Amino acid sequence: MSDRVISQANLSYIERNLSAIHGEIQALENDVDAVNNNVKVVYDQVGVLANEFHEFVYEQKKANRLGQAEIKLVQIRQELEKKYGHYDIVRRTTTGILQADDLGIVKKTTISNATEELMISTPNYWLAPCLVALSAWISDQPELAEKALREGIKRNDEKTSLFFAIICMRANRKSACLKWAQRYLANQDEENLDRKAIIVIDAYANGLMGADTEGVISREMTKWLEELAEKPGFVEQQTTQWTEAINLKREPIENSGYTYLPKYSNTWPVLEDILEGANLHANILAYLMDIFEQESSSAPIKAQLDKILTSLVTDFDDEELPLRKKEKFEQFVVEFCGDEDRARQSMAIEETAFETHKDFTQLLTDAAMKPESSHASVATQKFAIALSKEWILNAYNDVIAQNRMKIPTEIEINVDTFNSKTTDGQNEAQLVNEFTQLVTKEKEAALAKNVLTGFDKFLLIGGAIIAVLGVGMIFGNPLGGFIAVIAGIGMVIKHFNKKKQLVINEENIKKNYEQKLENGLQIIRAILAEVVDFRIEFAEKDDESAKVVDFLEQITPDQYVKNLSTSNRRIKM
Amino acid sequence: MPKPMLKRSVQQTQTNNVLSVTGNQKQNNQNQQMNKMKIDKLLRQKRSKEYMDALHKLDVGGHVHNQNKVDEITNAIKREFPEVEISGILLGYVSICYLGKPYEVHTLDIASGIIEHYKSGETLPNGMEKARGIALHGGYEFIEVYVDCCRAVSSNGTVSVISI
Repeated sequence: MSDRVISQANLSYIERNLSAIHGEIQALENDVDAVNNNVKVVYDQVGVLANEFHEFVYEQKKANRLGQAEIKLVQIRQELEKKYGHYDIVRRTTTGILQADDLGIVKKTTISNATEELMISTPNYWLAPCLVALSAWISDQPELAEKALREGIKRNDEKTSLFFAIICMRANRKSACLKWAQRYLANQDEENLDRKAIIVIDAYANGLMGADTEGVISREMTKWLEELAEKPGFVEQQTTQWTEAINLKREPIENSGYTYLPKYSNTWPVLEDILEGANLHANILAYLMDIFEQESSSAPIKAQLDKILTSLVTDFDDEELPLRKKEKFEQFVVEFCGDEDRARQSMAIEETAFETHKDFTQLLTDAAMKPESSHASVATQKFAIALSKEWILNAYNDVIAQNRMKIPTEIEINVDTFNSKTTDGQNEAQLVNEFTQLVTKEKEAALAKNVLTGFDKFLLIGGAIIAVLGVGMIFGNPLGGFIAVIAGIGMVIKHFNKKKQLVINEENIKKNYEQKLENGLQIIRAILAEVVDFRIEFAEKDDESAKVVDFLEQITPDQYVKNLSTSNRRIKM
Repeated sequence: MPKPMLKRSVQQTQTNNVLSVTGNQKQNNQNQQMNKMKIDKLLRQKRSKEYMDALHKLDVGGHVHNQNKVDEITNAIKREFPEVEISGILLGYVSICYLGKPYEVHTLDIASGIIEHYKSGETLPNGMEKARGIALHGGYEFIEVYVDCCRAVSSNGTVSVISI
């Protein structure tokens, strides 16, 4: 007992001390928080300082890199000048001769003297003999021109051919232009055509090279196609390529015009899909007709060809490439004030700009079906479609057949609990009969359930017995007897209420099922009408495919190489 | 260290061996692939008039089995594809039946050489059921049913391929 008293006294003392300690801890905690906040402020400031420092380092690095780039640029340019400076003179002379000749203000002898000197001072460079050939041609010296040409071809057949193809085009020498272009294309790999070749083909399709009456270029292309066709799986690959391109023109149906089929037929997704497939025919026909009715302009191609010529006579040659790349990169570094990352990004874009490579058939597919991304002219689209006619027809016939394969023989009808089928919407009597039978069966089943339960039946007899017993009990136990009479009467009343409810339920059931029958038959008839409409609409839209096939079959490639009778540019002689 | 080198040389011997099962299998697969491509190219070609006429006779003469007619048709098929052993890949033909109701389509089973006419609701045998819908609704002259695809042939002999 005494222990307990001491214990109580000690506890209050301990409690007081504890609360004092708690207070002190609280104060300490506040101090720690304050220190924490201060540390945070210090951290933030250090962070800002670190950022500023990093920024400074970065800026300093950029400044150093900029300085380096400027020095490197001078070094690279000196090296270029030392190694290939004489090439630059040739390029400038070529541009000058072309411009001077266009204007007709320089004497032929001056041109001739300038070029011959360059030939001697620039061994191994392809453009030098080309320049001699050009000046010999202008000065009407065929022998010298031929000799120089032979040397040019020996040095770089591809570039020489392209150079003279474009020169002849400018001079309106179409027959010669076709031959040079053919020579240039013959140097190309049909599986790896670069952008220049694509533009040359574009120029050919636009008739800028004149009418290919002898089939010089078309023979080259036929040769490409034959070589490609020799490869195993080529036909199937082409068909797949064209099938994909054709299917790109499929458009989802936004409003089919059908009300009941989407709601009451599980077959609707298939029907919608094949209708979408059948709509494709009209889309394709409109697309093709639009292409073939359009007048094309060759002005952009002429501009592109001028660009190629400029790039041929001004751009660096393959042997200069490593140094030129270095020069371009350092140029970008200077442009972006020493920022190497941005310079690298720009360099990547610069490198890929003219490095688009395509195989010939991919070029045709893209030109025909994706003119927006391939930047193909209308003339090239026509030419590409005409040249790829056989594959388009193969692919198109497959697309038609794939869609027809999905045509369901039977179309499902799913109205509430009723599930049946129709082929062509002509089996109305059978479906009406099936539906009526189903509704009658369901009604009978519902009515069969609408009967009094055993307990409901018992309520009448049980209630009567309890009421009678209650009457007997009134004299001995008035309260008990009275309650029994009331309960008995209540049970009897409940029985009759249930019976009355059954009659009402029966009427409702009959009414509901009559309504269901009426509505259901209406829906079924509407579905059947829509099935008839659908089959007609599908057949009509599917028939459009024949028009596309006819349209394609009538196309020939020669017909769609634009023939320009006049040219607005010529080299004056 | 010498152990893996030893193992490696054994592996190399196996792959380079002419009798190697895996190597031969790979080559076989490549050959099969190549053959399939060649066959696909051949079977894409427009069908001849003779072949079209022969197949058109499928529906002539009622649904009574006639061995002479079947022989005539199978000979025409062999003549159409002289480069291909067609019986291995072609299951049969399905086309719309003009005998009238209850007949819907008829088939020529290549393996058994039997022409059969089918009523609506009757399932076509030997994988030919897949061509029933297109034979009925596609508007093609007949459907060639292959192991891996169907080829729908139009009245002018044009072939459309339906991959399955």
